[in-house]
Amino acid sequence: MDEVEKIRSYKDRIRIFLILYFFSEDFLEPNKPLLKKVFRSEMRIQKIDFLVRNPDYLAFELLNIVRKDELKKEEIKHVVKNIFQNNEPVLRRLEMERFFFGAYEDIDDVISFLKSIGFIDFSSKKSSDLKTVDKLYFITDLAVNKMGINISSLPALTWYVDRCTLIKKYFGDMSATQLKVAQYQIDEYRDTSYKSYIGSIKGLVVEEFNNIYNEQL
Amino acid sequence: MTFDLKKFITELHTQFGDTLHLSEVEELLDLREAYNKDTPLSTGKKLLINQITFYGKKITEQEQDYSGRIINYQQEIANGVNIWIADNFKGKSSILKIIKYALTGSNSIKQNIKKWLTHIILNFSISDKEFTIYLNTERRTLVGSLFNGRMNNVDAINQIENEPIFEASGESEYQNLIEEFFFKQFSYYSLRWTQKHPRKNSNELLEVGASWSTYFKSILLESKDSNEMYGSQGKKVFQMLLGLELTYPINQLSVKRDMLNDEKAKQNSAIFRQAKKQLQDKAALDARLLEINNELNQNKQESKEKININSLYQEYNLLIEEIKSENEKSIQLENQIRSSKDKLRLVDQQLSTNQRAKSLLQKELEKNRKRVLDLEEYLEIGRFFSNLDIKHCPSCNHSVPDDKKRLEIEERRCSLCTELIDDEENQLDNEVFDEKINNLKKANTEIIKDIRMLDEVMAKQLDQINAITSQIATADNQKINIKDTVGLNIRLKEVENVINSEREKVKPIDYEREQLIGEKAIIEFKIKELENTTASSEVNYDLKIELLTTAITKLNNTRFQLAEKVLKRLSELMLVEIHEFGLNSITEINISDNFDIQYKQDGDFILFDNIAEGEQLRVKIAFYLSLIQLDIEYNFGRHPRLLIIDSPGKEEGDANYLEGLSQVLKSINERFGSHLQILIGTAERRLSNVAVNQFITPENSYVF
Repeated sequence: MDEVEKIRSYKDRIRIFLILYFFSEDFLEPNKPLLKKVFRSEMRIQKIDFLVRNPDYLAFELLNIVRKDELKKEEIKHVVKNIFQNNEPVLRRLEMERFFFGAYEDIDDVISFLKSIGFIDFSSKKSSDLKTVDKLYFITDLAVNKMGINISSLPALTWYVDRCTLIKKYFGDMSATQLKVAQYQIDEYRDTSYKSYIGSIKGLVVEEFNNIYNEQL
Repeated sequence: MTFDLKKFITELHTQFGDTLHLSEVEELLDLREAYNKDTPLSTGKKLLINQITFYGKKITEQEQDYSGRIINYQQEIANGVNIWIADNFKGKSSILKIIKYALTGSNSIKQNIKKWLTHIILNFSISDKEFTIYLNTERRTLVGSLFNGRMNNVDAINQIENEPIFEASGESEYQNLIEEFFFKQFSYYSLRWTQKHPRKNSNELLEVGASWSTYFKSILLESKDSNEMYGSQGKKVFQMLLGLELTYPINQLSVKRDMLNDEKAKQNSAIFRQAKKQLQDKAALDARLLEINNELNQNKQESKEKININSLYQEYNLLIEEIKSENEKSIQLENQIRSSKDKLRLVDQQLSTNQRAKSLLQKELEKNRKRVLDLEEYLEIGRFFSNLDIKHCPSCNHSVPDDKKRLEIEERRCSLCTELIDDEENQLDNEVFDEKINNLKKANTEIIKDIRMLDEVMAKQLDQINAITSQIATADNQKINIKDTVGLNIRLKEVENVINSEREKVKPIDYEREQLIGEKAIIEFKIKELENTTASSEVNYDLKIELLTTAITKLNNTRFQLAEKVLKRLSELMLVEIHEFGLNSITEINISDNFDIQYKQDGDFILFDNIAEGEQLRVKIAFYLSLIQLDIEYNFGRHPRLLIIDSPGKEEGDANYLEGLSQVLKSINERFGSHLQILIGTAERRLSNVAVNQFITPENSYVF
């Protein structure tokens, strides 16, 4: 594995793990005491991952919220400004390919890794034709403890923690399908052809921001 | 050859010394290193296309037999002669045009076919160095990039570690960047000329230059231009390909001369039109003055009565002074505005160069910062997941048994796959990565410093631009404030009339005398004024233009002398090639000092245009082949040794020609196969088996 691939695989591991950790709900099942949290469906991972990896799309969706909820206008302005001031759409961007149902990337390797070190467990419900319909991911006791001890001493990973918290605040309640529908509203996303990279929409965000706040981003 | 600029300037100054100051001569002729910029010695570089690949889908408005078909074309291309043989309208020209599009950014692909294409990849090499051009044409805006190395497909190109030499968004940016690249590679530069502003009501003269696309006409010979020797800017292309010494200064001085001519014409047409007319009247004034003096001498009788019209004369003189001074002011302002505009153009150019440099630095900085983030994350993620046991097999969900865990601790074998674990590699990684981070951060500090410096320079340049712009605006305003000389002239006339009528009251003799004296004063003043205004401007322009013309002629002669051998070899080579093509009626070829090529046919020297249409393409191909041979055999010239010939058989019905062409192609392959590359698209199936590399499409089928 060369350096670039190695770095990439590490980044995938932490990102997917943190998404599972932050977007899961508490889980209490007396006969499975080691499982602490539960996360539903792979598609939801993919949709949230897309927002983590594309700060420009995140910014755009935040601006969409302003259109519906005038009360959030000022706080979102601050958030979007920060994203652009830190040049995140360039520095934090990790391109993603478009698949049949929108942005998608194979995460089997990451899930296997997390499973092998005992951070997560998963179960699949199958429908009558044996297709997986609902995949549940569980966060273990071990992972929850490790998070508590470890993450605060790693400054380079703070960004991920903050980003997950931010996305959760605004989009945490949305299902995979709702997230997908929202992402499909964006031309660049929808018009990207199968197996091509979804392009940046920095320019569009700047334009929208100017429309809403009458201010240059 | 090293050109002795000092000697050249001294020579010309001796010739023009009476009228032009040495500093003026120097200013006109000194182009710094330009005099030694050209060399006819070959760079030895050749452009070789290795493979063309393009993808897309045939989308048509009306249902066709090919509608919806996927385009996935890939063709390796070798040294020597390569021929695509297919029926007309089946796509061969499009392939050649796609190659041209990739190499220049200039698009002449048929519009519907262009819409089909989504990705174009062109692998080429210059000498032994390989490059890849990747054009993404999926969207309306072209994204074009150039990479080092050879990559055959989009996946390979999209690998994160592939940093392009450049990435351009939009055709015109791509054209600029690819031009810069090829200009550098083949030591080309833009030869300039002047032309009228395209806006009809503008009298601005624009300076324009030959682009890479212009020079590319010497590579891609299209059937539609077969009756043009080398395009409308062809002589420039020819000069560039030969790289003859002194070409650059000749070109620069010619542009300078055009600009001066233009300025002179503008001046003449405005303020000086009146002065010039007066100059023509000067002779008449002189004659009248002589008459008056004679009459005054004859009539020496003193006037008995005196009348005081002195105050009127005074006003008259003052008015004339004023008119003169207002005219001078206006000329001065014009000059000031012109020189300010020159300065503005220069600073503008410098500013945009700096802006480009800054954006390159910023990209580099972004790249480095991204990399630092990656590396820092990598180290911390490593720490986050460290010291963890492997607990389950992710595939079968079995717990890892203790003996396997022991194996990992004792023998350093993975408890899942039992392969050896390389601890050292991980340890090494961390140290190496830490060092990389430090180096990148240092580099970033330097880049930021550079950007700040550029910002300072650019801020100064912006200030300069503002200052110059406001200077121009002020001068424009001052021009408005210049008194209307028409009004002053009317008042002058009035005063003149009063003086005359006052005089009428005086006795006849006195009256006559006064009138003569008055007229004498007026005429003397007019003559003096005319002498002043004319000397200051026009003469100077003419002299400068004359100096430039003399300099250009001298340089032209020197260039022709220096180039004689090269041109003679070239014409000999051409003659041999033309005969090979079956055109035995041409018996001699001569290249003149202004790069006209003359062909002796039936005893007369004729130009390319006068050669029979059916023979022109042969002559043209012979010309380019000879240029390439000149490079290969004598090491002269700068042709990239690549020729793309579209439908060479189309217009020329002569059977000898086709026979000649296949002979020539065979012989080129044998003689120079590994030194050059020729790509040919033809519908002429008789040309099959001429080249080793041929791509034949069956009759009635599409190439892609």
